[in-house]
Amino acid sequence: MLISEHTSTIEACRFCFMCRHVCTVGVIGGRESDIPRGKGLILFKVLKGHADYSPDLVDALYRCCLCGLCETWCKADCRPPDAILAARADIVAQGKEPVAVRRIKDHLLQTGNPFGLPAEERFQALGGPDLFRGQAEVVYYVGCDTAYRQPQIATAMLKILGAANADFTLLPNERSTGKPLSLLGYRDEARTMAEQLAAEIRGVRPKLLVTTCPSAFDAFKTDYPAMGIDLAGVEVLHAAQYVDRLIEQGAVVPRKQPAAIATFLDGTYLGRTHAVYDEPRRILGAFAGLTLGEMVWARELAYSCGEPGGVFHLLHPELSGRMAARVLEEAAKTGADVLITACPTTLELLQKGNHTKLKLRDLVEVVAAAL
Amino acid sequence: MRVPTDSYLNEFLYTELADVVGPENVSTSQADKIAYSCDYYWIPELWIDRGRPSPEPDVVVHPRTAEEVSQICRIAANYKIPLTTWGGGSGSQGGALPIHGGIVLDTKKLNRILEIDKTSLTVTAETGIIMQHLEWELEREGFGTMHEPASIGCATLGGFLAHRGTGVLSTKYGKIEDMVMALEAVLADGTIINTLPVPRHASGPDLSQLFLGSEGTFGVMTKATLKIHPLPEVRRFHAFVFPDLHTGLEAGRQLMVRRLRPSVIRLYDEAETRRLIRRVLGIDKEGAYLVFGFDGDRDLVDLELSKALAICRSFPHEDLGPDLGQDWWDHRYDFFFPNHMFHLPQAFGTLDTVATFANIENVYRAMKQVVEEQFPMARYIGHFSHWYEWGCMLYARFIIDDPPQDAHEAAQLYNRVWDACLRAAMQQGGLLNEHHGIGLKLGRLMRELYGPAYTVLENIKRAIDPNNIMNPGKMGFQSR
Repeated sequence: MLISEHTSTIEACRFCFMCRHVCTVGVIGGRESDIPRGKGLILFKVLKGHADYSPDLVDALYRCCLCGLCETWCKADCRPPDAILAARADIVAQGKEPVAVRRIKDHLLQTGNPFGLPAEERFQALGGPDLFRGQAEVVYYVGCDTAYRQPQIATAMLKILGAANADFTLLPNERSTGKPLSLLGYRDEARTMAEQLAAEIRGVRPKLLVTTCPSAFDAFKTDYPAMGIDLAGVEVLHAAQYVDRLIEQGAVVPRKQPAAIATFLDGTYLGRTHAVYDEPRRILGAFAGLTLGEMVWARELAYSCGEPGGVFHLLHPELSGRMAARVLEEAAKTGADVLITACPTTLELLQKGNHTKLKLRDLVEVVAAAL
Repeated sequence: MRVPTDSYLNEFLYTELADVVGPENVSTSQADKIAYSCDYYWIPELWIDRGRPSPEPDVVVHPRTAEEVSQICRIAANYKIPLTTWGGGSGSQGGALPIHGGIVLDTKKLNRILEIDKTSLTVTAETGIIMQHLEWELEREGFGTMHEPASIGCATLGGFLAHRGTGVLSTKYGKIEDMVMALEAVLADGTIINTLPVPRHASGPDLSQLFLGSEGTFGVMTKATLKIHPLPEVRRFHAFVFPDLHTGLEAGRQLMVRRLRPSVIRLYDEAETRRLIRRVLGIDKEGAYLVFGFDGDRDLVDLELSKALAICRSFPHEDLGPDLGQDWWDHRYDFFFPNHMFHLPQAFGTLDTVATFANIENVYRAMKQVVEEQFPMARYIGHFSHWYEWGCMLYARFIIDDPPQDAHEAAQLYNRVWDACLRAAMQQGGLLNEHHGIGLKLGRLMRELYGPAYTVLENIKRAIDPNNIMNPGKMGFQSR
């Protein structure tokens, strides 16, 4: 079993409560099986052969959004998300994953996106064939959530790329990075999907791969190297880093904006995993008139809507709705007019549950509107 | 009585509970049964570790209002099944364990802050709120309850109320029972009661104090009003090492009997100074490490600090200065993460007790002697961490690095250490416990502690919970 590689985490977490109050699902869901301690108890029993992956235990192991706040808080270097991911791979190997999980996997394999929407509709909202070139210096990887659910983010990014006179292309056969598959426990399928996408990227021979999706960013930065998948030395940037660079180079110059207070929501992959905290704030600082109001829970301790891989909300829409509500409530306490994210999944979840007066924008939308 | 697991009566119980709280707030999941079968008590941890079956709840419910709690109590009373209240489940005494199955009532969805009264400096909150969440919200408004235990992130307000918990700033701000203004509680028959709105009166005995420390055996506390305090302008610490524990105790006593108002005094014995202070804080000293702190307005803190320094410097000492005191404050919760905390396969227990200044050192030495002479396989360490005008609390611990592999043998050895140590403590004027509670762990010793007075508690229990459904088998009350 893969969980045996995480014995130290499992044995430490099973009797430890020290991260309960930061566990996103635990705080919202309120069940003892939601927090890393509960997961540790379950996994210890499985590890020692005192329990099997029954449907109840399997459900509990998919009731984690992988936000990573637990390991950020931990002073003992425990990594509950890694143990949970190993458990999911074990569950899949035993053919015990829930039907809802299997359905997402089928969608990804059949259509290249977790929603099961037709592949040919991926870029329908973005315009014509001039988006695709055989070779380019920059590949813009749009990602599933942006393409199908938040295409205005891609439109904004295209405007920025145009304003910077970038030599760029989209991938005509773009599909998921495979990350949702690996987060659901389908490691082999994830690798196959990743290899296919990597071949597409290499085919363009770009120098730079940029994406507006933090989950894709982490796939390229963390997962692909870990799987030994070669991107031919291409530099990988999230849009926040790329736009920050463009502004610094003077390649794009945002115009002055009407006075407003903005607050920025950090995320799991962009923030906690890759520490991209300063770039979004520098970008927002480049707009005269835009004042940044920080949430108490910011940077590495930022609240989460459960965005990793864009799959948690597909499995647990009610829970993720309440997680988004908590973020909105926290953001509203800053007195901000606009809540800015750099993640299409997060933006969609916030939009669905927004009962505040906050305007919601992706970072690149804010930049594009000022060009 | 317990509804047999395979009985169709369970379906009726489930239906009635779901009708009250909604099906999403009722769980019979195996995952939850596992997660609610173990708290922070060593015996259930041992049972999990050894792969033995543990008592589990039949059903877990998550009420969102006192009215829902009331209806759940009525259902439990109707079926005459146990109802065990669970806050954070992080207690070390087995107090929240559903040892007879039945319903576990998880309070964590009773988590609203209802009012912050900035005129009277009080906060009213539901008892399922995680204490750290309450404290963080108060801090946004410039206040704090100043209840800051290591379990602040794990435990709920109700958990602290239920076992008379304490925090590291207790020496100035008191234990939780000193902070409470008033309570709302639900009785076993579903009646919702409120205690009087202020704690100082001459209108009969204090009902709030009756529920505080009752560990869910008298009812379910659902709401509490607590005192709050403005966040201090400054908080300053200072650390010393004294050549031995006796000198440190006398220095600490002087700080209190001279009626200074430190927010914290912590004195570690030689063994803990050598082991834990070195490992967690990196302070490599022989002797007894003492840290104290004052908080409040700058000029008042400076004045009290100068008097405290003069007292400490009147004893043989090494002055470690403010930084090594501040380090302790900054890392005060680190001691409880798995890399610093004792854990299985070790057996360990916190023998926290309290006594007057006249008795406390004798209590410490009596328990030490018991461990060293009767249990050579065990170590004994301790610190003194909550100080009063008349005495202080001893946080003594025993650690057995290599307990028997057999769960029965290990548990029996464990209980023998507890019994012998606490009987020795009681002979010297110590109590069974100071801030962790009694729970399942120490119930058998309650009659020895109270003597004939225990009958009063038993009679109250019988009167308030005639069906014995509220957390049966805890605090020494009748099991089932």
